Amino acid sequence: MAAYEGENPVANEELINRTGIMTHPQSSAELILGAEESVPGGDENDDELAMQRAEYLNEGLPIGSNPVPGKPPDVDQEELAEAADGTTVLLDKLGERLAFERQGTRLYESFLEKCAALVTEQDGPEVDELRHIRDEELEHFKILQQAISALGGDATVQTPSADVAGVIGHGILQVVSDPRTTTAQCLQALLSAELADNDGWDLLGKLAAQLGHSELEEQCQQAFTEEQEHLEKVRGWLLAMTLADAQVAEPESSDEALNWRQDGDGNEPMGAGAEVNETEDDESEQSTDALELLAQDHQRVKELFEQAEAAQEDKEKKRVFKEIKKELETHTRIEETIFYPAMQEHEELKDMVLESLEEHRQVKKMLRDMDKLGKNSEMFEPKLKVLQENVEHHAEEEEEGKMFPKVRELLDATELNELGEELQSAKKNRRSKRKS
Amino acid sequence: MSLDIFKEQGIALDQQQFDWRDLVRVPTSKLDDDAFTRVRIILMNGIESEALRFQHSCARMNKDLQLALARVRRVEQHQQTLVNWLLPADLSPLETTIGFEQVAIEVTASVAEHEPDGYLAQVYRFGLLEDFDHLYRYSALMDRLTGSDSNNILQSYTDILPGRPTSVEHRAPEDDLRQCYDCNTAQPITKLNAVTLMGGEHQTHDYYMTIGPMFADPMARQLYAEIASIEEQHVTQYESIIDPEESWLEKWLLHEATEIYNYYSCLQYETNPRVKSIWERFLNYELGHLQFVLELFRKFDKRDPAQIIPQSLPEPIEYKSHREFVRKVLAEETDLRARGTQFISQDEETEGMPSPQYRQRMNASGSPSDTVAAGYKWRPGTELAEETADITELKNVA
Repeated sequence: MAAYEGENPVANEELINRTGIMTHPQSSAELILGAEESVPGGDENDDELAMQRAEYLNEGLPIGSNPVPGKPPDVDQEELAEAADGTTVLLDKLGERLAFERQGTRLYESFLEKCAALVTEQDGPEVDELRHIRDEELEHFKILQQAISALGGDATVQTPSADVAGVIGHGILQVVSDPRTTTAQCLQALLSAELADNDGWDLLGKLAAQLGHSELEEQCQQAFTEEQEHLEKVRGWLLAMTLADAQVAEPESSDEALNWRQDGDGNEPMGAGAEVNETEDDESEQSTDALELLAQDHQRVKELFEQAEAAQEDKEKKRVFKEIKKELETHTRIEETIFYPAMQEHEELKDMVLESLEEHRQVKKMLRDMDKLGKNSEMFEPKLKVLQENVEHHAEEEEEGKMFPKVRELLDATELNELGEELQSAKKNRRSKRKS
Repeated sequence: MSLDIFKEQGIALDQQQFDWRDLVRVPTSKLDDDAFTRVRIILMNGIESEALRFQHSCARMNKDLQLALARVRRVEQHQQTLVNWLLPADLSPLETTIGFEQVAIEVTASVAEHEPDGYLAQVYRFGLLEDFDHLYRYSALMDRLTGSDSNNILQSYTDILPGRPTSVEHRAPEDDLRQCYDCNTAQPITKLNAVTLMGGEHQTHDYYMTIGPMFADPMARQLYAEIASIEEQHVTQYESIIDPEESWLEKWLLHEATEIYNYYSCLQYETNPRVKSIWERFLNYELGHLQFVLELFRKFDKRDPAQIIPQSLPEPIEYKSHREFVRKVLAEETDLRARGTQFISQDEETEGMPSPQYRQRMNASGSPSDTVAAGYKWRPGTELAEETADITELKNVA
């Protein structure tokens, strides 16, 4: 017979959180008064602490270094030397993603075991869905192994960034592998992992694009899309379980409560968009300033997204989506064929244009993905939400980031108006083509 | 060896000084330093920890020595701190564990190869195969729990293979005691070897007992509980090979000589210049301790210390891969079991004997070490990895 016969059920014990000051009032009062009367030594404004730490910083010893990559079989040695810095950084970041995906595979296995062992919790993840995520994590790991190998790297190396990712992931693993944590607590930990993973792939894709590794860029794109789904799923489960714990009925996604950030008093994150919009609308009749035209496009799409969000019926949502899609296709097309080529003539704008192009590519990929969805797919709304976030991010980057202000420095009013006219006529052509 | 430990004065005890900044250096690098630098740090932490442990026991039994012990012990405490604090924070508890097992394998192999006493060499090989199996079990845990490759720590110096299965290493206490060397006839190297391994294994035990509860995963907690229990058996084994007839001062002298021998060995092999200068400094500190204890020995024991410790040091411990030696032992001695102070073959062990009974009791609700490593086969980059072209090529070269 097994030695272990089970512990007494906790129901008999009193479960009290004893960490607060009110647990032992008399004792706490004494503690507080004692501390108040004490006279600490030293000067807290003294910067000795920072100076001591700075000494260690100044020794300049790193956590570790990147290995010198071997020579890939079919690459010219000179080209290799030129690309060495870029390749080293790329291998470091590839190593980081590899470590992350491999740990992610184990994380989801651990979580899967837990969910399978527990009585199925309402609103929680299905085992099949978790297995799907686990398999994709493993697939990403293997893609990275091959990618590193193809670059002449050693896929078994623990790169400095991989090491750091391991330290970051330690806490997440501790939460998920603890038999005492709830499904929701595990999801909170997994959310941290997925948020970091999404941005990790995004960054890797951008780096690959900048370094001209187009195949890798596409692989990153694909992985990013899949990781976005993981993120949305984890987010969804966490929200549903938290609301269920709070005994709140699960709201429709159009429910105002879920859109609390845009609520009521006009403090929405995008600023006082409506007012700006009105003035812009008025001016739009006369002005052909290219930047204003593009900003108007952005604003128009933003409003459509809000309409879609507010729509009660699925049918209406889908109709608005079609409009969004049309607008986005036209907008990306004219930016890519007219505006960006003009901007790329200026050295200072080149990088920003590349970034914008990358964002376009992602938006278009998402539009295609959404087209492929089944009629009643539950993925429609989450994907629409992610699309909205991406588009708004893109618009913000261009308008409020460095690009538009820089363009204004470089081009004078006449040039901007001429460019605007070109954009307008391209738009008209496209519309008439669509109609015919 | 040219170092005459009776003549070398080292640094006098009252010149051995530290401050907090000196104790806490920027640590070594998990990624860039050679695995054997980590092996030496882990072992020397164990040797210093044994110094403290011994000196405390001695103080409890010898009023006259208390002040002398307290003075030396204060320095040993700070030596241990400086050495142990060389381990970096990104080295996780599980990774450090892999490091401890690498120490147990490579250092024990070197000791076993150089031990002149045939029986004791057998004792060391017996322990070696058990630690060898621990490394394999912990590697499986690391791979399957955290998704990382233990060879990032081992750097290919040490094999990741099953040894004598951990689940059969559990023995009744009467089967963990061994015969001791004779302090009057044993060669000096025999004594130094015994103290070295006892210190190393004791620290391994203490480390597992400290970090075991830090794991959230219940199977990791079980595995640490199981292997910590074997380490306790190993301490019992290595403690029992040391002659209890030695006087307290004789033992103290031997401890100091062991520390000298170990710092000296580290110094011969160290590749990291920052660490090398520490081994050199502490070798000189230990020579100073020896001079101090020699005085006491002459005063209290009234004997010639040359009868106890060697004039010149034996061949240093070899900090290198012992792959061939370990594989040979693995092939020939995995099936050995202990019965009293002797070793018998697996077939000679019958169910009614104390160790099989004890083992059955401990494994009654399953064996953690069997469970975590079921079907485990190490591959480059963990068992999840696919073989890339460069690995295939590497195998072809071999």
